[in-house]
Amino acid sequence: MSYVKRFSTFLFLSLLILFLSSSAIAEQLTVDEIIDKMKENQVEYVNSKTQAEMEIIDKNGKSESREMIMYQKEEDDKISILMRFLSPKNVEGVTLLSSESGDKIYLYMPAYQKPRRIAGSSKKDSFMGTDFSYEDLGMDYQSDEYLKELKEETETQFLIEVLPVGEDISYSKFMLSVRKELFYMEKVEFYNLEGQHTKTLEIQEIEIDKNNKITPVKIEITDVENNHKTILNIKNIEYELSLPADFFSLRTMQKPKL
Amino acid sequence: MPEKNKNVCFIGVLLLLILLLIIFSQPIWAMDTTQKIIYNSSYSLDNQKIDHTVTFKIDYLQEIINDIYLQGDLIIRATNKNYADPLIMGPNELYLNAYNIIENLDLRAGIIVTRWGAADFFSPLDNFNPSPPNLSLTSNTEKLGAMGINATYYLNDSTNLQAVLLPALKATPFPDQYLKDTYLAQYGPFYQKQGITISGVELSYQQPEELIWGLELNHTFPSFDIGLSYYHGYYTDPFPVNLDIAFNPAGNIMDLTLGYPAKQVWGLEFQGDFPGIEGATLRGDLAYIIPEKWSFQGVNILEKPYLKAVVSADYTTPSDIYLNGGFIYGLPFENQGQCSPYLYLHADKKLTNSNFTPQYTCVLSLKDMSMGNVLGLDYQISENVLASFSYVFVLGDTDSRLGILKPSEGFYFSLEWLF
Repeated sequence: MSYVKRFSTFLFLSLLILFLSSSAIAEQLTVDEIIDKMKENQVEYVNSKTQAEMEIIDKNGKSESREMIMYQKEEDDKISILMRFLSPKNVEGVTLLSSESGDKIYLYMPAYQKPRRIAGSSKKDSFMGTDFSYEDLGMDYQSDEYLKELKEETETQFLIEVLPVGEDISYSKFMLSVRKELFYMEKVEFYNLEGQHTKTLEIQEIEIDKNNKITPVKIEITDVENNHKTILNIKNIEYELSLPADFFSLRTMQKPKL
Repeated sequence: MPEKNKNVCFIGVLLLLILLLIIFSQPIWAMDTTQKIIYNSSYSLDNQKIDHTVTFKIDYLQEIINDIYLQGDLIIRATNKNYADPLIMGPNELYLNAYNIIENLDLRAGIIVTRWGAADFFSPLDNFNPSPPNLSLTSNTEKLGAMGINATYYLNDSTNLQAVLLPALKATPFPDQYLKDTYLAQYGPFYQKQGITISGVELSYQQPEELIWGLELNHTFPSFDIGLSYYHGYYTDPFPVNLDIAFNPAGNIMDLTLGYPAKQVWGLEFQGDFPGIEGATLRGDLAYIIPEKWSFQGVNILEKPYLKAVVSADYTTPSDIYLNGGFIYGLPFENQGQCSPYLYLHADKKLTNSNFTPQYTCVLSLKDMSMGNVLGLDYQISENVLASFSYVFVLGDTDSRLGILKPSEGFYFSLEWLF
């Protein structure tokens, strides 16, 4: 065997070993490692401000647009959200406050002039005609409190089953589709307590910043039973704002301007 | 007002509305405004008359400096209803709204509306601002603004103390003619039996002189909110003080003096999880009312402290029907011994993939089983245009507890345009 041939064989074997070993590494990823990689690719922040346009589409294709602004904070594994509709006029000023990951929910309607508490157990109700429920807005599928299992691995996706064990929510299961290439959640299927697939959330567009951090910019949530959907087009996100300590409060939600 | 003049007035207001519409469509205004035009019509089965009302409302908001706002509205309303001013023009609210004026203190001053109580309907704790002078089951009653100051001090994230001060009572604006006709119908037959024919009524008022004030302490617990309140003020509806007959050859006149009894209200309000019923929110207001002793013609109308309460729950069923029902002890027009128990229910459902929302509201007297009912249908014509149709009917005699709603029986239509 000539030197060149031997060298070529060595190179081929080396590449094959390298390839196989890298595949083996990918296959060996545990569900926690996948989640960790997803978290690594997300922008880390304490709080954020999102401006978005919401489109609500019924089964006949008739749509309604709304503009909204949303502040979000994560502290001690608890998510707080303050969200206000800016348009159209029939919902302008309607404000939602969800604190302690949805355990405390208030709705402020300018015409009513007083925040209305929504019982924690009403969290499954639709929020202002959208396909998001109150609890959807404050949920964290990556939470360590949920049981996760890698159910399937395709060429492009990891399929992870998430069970909200011990959590007081109105879903029995979530199926997460994680895009392998970029380690971000492309799709979530929601299953009700009877085990039926009721909703699907899809991240249809993302932005990747210079630090390779991923931000979803177009999110679609579909009510599978009623063929009704809500599309969220994110216009702008700001991170790490200087917000007062009591920003996520009943006091703030009644302010005419956030 | 003669019918012809009312029509001229109505056309004038419509022209004014069009002019305002043109003005406010220009982008020259620095302040944020929202305009609303509402057309209401009703057909009364009682007097077989069609009423029309057109309301133009502008809400405005301007940030003067950081966290200090000028807020208010302007209402122009024209109507051909009996016992109503054919034309009303002015603000219902106009106030400065200042946040953190002193650390943790927010202040509203001017013509304000202060809402106390967690109940959705007929809260006995909501005493600072009167409602318009008719009991309505067809719409959420708007409160009438009153001059005053409302200060809220936030002790921490969960607790706040609210203080309200009004320099003078804002009374329920019953039209004089309505009161004259009502009292004439009430006392005229009594004097007629004595051979005295009353040909007219003269009204005079004793105005309350003391300041009206209240304090409310609110606290948020993990699964419910609670508020303890104290109100020191007056009844907003007039009570008779004195009645004299002025005998005149031209016709005898009933001179009636009306006044507003003082009252104190100790209150408890709460809202939160309904224990044992998954998905329901419990709301309640309990009021312990201490009235000023008030007698008229030797009869004690108000004497002893009494209770009023509203306890309700709202719940959305798995098929998206919104239900709001509860128990009421004492409707707004009932005081002391008149207070009686009622049940109420409101149900609505936005039809899936449709712009229609059928709804039903009823109040049932547990004392005499009389019942007020509203069957309604909302149609969202476009994002900012809503049409509503409803039919009001009452089960029970005219002199039953809810017989007071008999004159309201009929058909109602409204068209609301926001822009």
